[in-house]
Amino acid sequence: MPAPSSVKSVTAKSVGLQNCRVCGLLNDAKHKYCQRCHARLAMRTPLSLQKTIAWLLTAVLLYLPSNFLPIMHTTNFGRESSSTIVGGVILLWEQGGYFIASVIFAASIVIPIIKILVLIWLVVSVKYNLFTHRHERALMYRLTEFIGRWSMIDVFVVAILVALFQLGGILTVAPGIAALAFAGVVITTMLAAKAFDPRLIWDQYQNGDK
Amino acid sequence: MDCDKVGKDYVACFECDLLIETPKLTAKQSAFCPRCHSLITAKSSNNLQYALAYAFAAVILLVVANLFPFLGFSAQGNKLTMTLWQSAQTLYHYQSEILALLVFSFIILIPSLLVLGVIYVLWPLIFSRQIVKGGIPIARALFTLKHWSMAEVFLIGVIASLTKITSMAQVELGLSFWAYILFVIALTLSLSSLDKYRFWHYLDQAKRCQHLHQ
Ligand SMILES: [Zn+2]
Ligand SMILES: [Zn+2]
Repeated sequence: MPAPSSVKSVTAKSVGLQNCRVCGLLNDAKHKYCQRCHARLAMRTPLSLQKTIAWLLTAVLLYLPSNFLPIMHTTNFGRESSSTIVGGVILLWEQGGYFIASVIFAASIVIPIIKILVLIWLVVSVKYNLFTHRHERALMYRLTEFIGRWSMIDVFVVAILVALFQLGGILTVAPGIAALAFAGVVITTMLAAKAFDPRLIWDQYQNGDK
Repeated sequence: MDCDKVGKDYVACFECDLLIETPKLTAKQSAFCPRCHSLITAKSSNNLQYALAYAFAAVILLVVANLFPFLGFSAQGNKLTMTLWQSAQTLYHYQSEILALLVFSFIILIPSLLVLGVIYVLWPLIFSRQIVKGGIPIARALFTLKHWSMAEVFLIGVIASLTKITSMAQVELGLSFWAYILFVIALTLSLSSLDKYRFWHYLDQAKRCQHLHQ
């Protein structure tokens, strides 16, 4: 089993080396750019917590309109109606599409909130040097990064319905302002996750810590 | 290089910065960080040749996916079809230019840049041990752009939209739809075979070869 063995919890930073986050080359502290891939180097992402919080605030500001304003407008035989994200989920549920309704509900409503809460927890725990639940935090970070893109489903649903009914005449679907706001929520939460430097979770680590 | 000694024997975990003995490229198992358990490098069966082969398949499939109707349906005597490209383009006609640009980038532009980039960098690297012009910045971009491809998310979106409209129309899946599914599979396999650690080590070896030949 070639699992790498640890060297008594010595980190790259503790011996004055910066790990390149793009290619994984250990660079001497004096370098500004990676000697292999020329990416910008830093011991830790500068202003990581501030950047994360800034993106999170933007996400929260966009989250409200994305859920209360219409995500699409439907015109059926001259009759106009608008629907929100939640409205769409309820309609699908009533039509019997339970599985897809649950998927959209999870992707559009639950996941963004969980992502925002997890990132706030990560920022607060690093800021106040909490030394517990490191493995849980590392796992939550990985999950948040992985799941980010999957929230975009409802935006794509709008795009497909708009395109599919464009020639219809009888039924037309137009995109609502919430579609753009919601795409903004997904993008800003992804940027918030990217801005957070997970190495900060482990920086005060001592052997025996949880 | 001043970090040569440490650089050879140790690598640092991307997620917790722990110094770890350099994993062997030929290892039959994936290597994980002993402290935070994040992936350091995938097992050797996941190699770069596969990343290149799948990228080729993906390019062909993406071309096919853009040539034929994506979805079609008939309702009240009307027969309508849409192409993959139209799912972004139509938004543009509704004055949602930014949204159109985002959708186009996430489902067509970024995925195609990724597969083309993989081919451009890996082909000469694997077959002639050469680093192409601009290879390093392109490789760097590949590893960043990877997170912004949403082709597979779009597929789930297609399935969700079909569920929404089956009650009012007869939906037909076009040839492009199937090609796009296969494209998503090829793209996912290609990117998951493009192991960061392994890739940059091959690149280092190629660089050493180039120096020897000069
Ligand atoms: Zn680098
Ligand atoms: Zn680690």
